[in-house]
Amino acid sequence: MKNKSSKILMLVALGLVINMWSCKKDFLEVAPTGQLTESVLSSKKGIEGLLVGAYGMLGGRGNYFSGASNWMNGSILGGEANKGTNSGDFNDINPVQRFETQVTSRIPSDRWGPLYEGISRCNAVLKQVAATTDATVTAADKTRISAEARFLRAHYYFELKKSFGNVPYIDESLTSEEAVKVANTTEIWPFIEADFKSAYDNLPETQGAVGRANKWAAATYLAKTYLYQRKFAEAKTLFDLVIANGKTAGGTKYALLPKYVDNFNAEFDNNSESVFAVQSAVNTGSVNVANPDLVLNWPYNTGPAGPGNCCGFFQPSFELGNSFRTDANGLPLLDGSYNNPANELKTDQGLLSSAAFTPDAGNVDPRLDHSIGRRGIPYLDWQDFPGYDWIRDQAYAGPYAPKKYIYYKSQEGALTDGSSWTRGYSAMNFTIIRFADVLLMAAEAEIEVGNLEKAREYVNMVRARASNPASFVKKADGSNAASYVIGLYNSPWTDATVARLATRFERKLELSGEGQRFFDLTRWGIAESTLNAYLAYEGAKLPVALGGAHFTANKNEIYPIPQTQIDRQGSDVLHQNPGY
Amino acid sequence: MQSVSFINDLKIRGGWGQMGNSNNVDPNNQFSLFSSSVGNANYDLNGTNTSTLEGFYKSRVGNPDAKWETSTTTNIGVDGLILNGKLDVVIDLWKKSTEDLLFQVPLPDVLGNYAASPSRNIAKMDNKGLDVQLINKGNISSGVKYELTLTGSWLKNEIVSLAPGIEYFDVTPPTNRLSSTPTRNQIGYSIASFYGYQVLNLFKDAAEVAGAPTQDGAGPGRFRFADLNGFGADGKLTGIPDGKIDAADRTYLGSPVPKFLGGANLKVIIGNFDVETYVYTSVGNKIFNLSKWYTDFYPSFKGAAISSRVKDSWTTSNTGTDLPIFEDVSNFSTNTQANSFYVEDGSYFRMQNLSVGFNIPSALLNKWKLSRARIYVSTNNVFTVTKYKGLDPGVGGAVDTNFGVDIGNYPVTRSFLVGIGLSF
Repeated sequence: MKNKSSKILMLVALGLVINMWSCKKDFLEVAPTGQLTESVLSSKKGIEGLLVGAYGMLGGRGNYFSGASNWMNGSILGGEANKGTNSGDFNDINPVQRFETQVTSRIPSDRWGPLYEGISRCNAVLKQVAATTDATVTAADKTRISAEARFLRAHYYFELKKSFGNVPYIDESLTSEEAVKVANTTEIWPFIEADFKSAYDNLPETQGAVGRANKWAAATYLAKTYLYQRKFAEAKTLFDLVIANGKTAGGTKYALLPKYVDNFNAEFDNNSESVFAVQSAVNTGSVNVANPDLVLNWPYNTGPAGPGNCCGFFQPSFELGNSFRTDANGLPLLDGSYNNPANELKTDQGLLSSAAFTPDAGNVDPRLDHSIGRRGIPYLDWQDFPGYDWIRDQAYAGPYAPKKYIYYKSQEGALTDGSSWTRGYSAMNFTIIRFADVLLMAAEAEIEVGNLEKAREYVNMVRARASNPASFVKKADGSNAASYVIGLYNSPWTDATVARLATRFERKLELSGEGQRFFDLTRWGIAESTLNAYLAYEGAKLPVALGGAHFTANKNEIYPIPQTQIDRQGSDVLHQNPGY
Repeated sequence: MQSVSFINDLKIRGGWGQMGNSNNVDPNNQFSLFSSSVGNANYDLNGTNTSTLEGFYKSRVGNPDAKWETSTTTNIGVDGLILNGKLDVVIDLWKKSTEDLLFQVPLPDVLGNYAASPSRNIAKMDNKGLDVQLINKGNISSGVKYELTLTGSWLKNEIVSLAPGIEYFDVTPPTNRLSSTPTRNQIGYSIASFYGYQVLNLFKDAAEVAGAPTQDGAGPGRFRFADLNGFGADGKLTGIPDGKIDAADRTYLGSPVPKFLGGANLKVIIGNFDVETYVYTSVGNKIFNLSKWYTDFYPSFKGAAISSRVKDSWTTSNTGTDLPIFEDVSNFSTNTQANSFYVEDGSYFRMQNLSVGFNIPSALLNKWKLSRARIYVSTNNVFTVTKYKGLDPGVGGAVDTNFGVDIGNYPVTRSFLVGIGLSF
């Protein structure tokens, strides 16, 4: 009996051994733990999570040049501000703001990669939507999710198009092997248009989550795409619809906020003026969602008396400050005479904070003191801006500090995130398109199709809001902090050139520091004349930063393609942009 | 052999071997993966200002085809004992060819730039060398014994090939304050070679600037770079100077791989005293002294520490220096580009260690009831002879493809040790 049982045991053991032998090779392959394979992602939760990730690249996630604020690519290049701080700090920016960008420069390279990351995430969403077998993903879900992904993809390509010209167009149909062989020689506007069009056709008017793109955001962005291509009639038609019927994802009809300044305040996030915005949040475990794009752009060395404390970047230009000068009727000096010595804004350049200074007493547009931090004027609810003491290197970068998208003293801690190296991470959304921008874009389109008076109406809507006295910056005694005089364009516009000049100037005043100016100048075809005049004027005041700098036409309108990427893909795939 | 009287012993060796290696390859290398991450993918889609929704992103691109890298080593050597057993000689001539070298080749950013690149078998590298070891020991007199070991290695390293279509890849040091990468791994050059602009001289005046090839930010006292190359209309290098200094003009600036490494160990015993020392030398390697970016330029972290070297900076009356003008300007011609100003000869000779010991004579030991007692003094990093201007020429480096870059590495300290050893 004993003998028999041991024989059985042996057979069993032998069987086990044979069984092990006969196992396939993947017996040795262990699926990675704590990670998600592509197949897991085709569930409803997986696809929605991928879409969240695709939204997640809007703010740049800590990369200073790919986020939608475009403080560098749009505002500094557009002459609204300079790098700020001092000469040595983040000196990769120095040559870029002088239009001496090298093909090896970090700035274009840092912009390129994260924008393509955004595109790649959108493509991953679209791939999974097409592939999913999860029955809980309804047809309506598929339509909405695809439309959101295409909206975002169009946004990222729009950003690339503005800064690099044509770039390789990669959609969800390409494999990686195919994607790296796509050249940058095809016009990509049609693709951007098609994506926004699809988003416009398929997105719902309202969304459960206010941060999502909706039908009207897509309509607006599509109209903006038309405008950039000078398709004014198409743009006008769509802007008409947006202005008449547009509403936010939360269902609020588009309207200008009563107070201009509230656009830049976290307490008013996703307001009626916010067409599409980067959502920011604080104290979530990562500052990469807490407006990291703007984290350097605070007054310097303020201590607890001021916001952020670091790093003194993004100082508004003298030229921008002067632009806010108004005449007796409260209208801007469209002839450019605002830079004449008689009209220049008085500044504290060259003065220590301890030296006495009286701010400019002349007429200015009230938006000046919502856009530029300047000596002697209350800096939100912090204190009067002290000038020199809050400026890192006045001789290098001038007397001003940024004032839009600055948090309030009363918000410290609640709407800011001090968990990283600076207090400057904050919760205010960056608005990519706001309704005032829509009105001004619509005004441009109206001018080009011949409706000058309609354009005047739109521009006056923007100016009327700016002239709401309730939003003027006030001193402690309740009086206005400066001589704010702003009026409407009351005489009919009869000359398209004048109308164009006024509308374009209004964009500068209304949207300064919001990353638009450089792209406006290039699409208007006036970058060379405008920027060389700016560099000559500003360079005389800030000789180290900008002296002798020059904008070269047919070159500096766009960045070079990053050399590293050409190295990786080959110069027969990625062609360097002209002039570099 | 008996007729060759000065040879006591002679052995000729030969060897060939292959070894596989897959160190430093992530266990998930073969998989394409997605992850969730607050920092990399979450987003506040609900507009709460204080919370986020979970987002997913591609965290890794897989390469199922990766295999072991293979090193083939061939050597031929001679071991001998000569001169009445006084001299031990070990000579090795060797070659190590590593094929299918595993490296995380960066992927083009058009695929996105968050996912980790997989290790791929991309390169073939050859190392060739000659190692010599000489050992001589003996007695000078009855109370004086010595032992001397000399070692020397001559080394040549070359990247033979990279993956199809890849001519080179650049690597950025962990902290890079420059706007360009100082290291390039290129076929035909050694691993981790330095790469950048060649400094011809410092511009002496405005006339020289005006007469020189166009260079952004040029000015008296600033670097004048050599015009060596140009980009053609097709974006490819033409090999012809084009009157313009741009990325095409960057060139090979030297290798961090030493040509010769040597060491000597000497031990002398004189009665109850013993003295031992070890000296080491590295010859023919270059160091990319990135620490000079911090110490030799005014605008680099303005107000922070600077080197006393800047007292010899260029001025209109001090034009014979190689140190650029000390000014508050940071541009292409000053402190933003990798260039030959940072590349220094990294050769050095160092006494690594010196120790002196004394063994208490046995007469005293018996009296103290000890079996052994020894007093010794030792010091390391005794002195270094080098022309290198950084803190320590013994620069390490994070990885193979990127070493010899001195980002202000912490230097080896000098230490002294005094000890007593007792056995009961």
